Amino acid sequence: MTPTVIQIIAWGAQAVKAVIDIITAAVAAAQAGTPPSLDALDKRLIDVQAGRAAERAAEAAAATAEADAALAAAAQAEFDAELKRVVEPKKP
Amino acid sequence: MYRNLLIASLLLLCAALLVACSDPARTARREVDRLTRLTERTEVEVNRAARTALVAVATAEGHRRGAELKAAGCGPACATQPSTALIDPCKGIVAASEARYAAATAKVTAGRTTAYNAIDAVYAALRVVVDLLRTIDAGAKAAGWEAKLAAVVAGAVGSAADCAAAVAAFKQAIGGAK
Repeated sequence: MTPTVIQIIAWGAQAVKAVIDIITAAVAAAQAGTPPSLDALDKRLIDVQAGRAAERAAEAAAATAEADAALAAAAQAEFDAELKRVVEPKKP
Repeated sequence: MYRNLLIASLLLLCAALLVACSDPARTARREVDRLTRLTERTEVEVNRAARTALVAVATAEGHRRGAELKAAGCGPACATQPSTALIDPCKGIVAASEARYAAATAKVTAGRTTAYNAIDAVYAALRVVVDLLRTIDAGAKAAGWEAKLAAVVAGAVGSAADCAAAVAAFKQAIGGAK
């Protein structure tokens, strides 16, 4: 091979390496994702802070109602089990 | 000459990409986004855990109340009545049950409030980061802005870690309370 051919191969290798570097950087950037704009972040935080008091109150009320219903159902279930035992006596 | 120009422009493009990706303000925005999402998910987790614990506590207490009422010869209607609507001995049994239930739920809700406070601390720390980013965006890139930004981001990350620890402690406490 003449020196010119070797030189061309070296240039090609350099170009390929540069392209690979670019693709690698682009893939890394794509994987990291584009962060939202500052305005979007600010708005989201303000919305979260403004709405969470109402959301928490609603969540607490719903959880309490569910628990109260579970308490009554469990207490009633004790009697229902007894009733079932009396109404449906064991077969001989 | 063309070869050198080509390589130089490719390298410049690479450098621009790398600089854009490692820009501290951009990294901070990404971190704020990540922590906001994480904290929102944490609050949903806290609510779910608290609700599950409350229902578990209520179910256990309900069975105990029913069994005690039955043993005392009280009627089934007593199981769903408040103590004030009953006469002794059923009234005493339900009143004691109500007191136990109130104490158990208070423990769960107090833990939930502690977790909420930790969550609020994260949001407050994130607002500090956003405020600083706004100042930086406004063009006031004073000397040392990168270090200041790194410090407030570290503060937000620390708050998120404290929050995660508080939530884990809450879950453990209500796990034991069931």
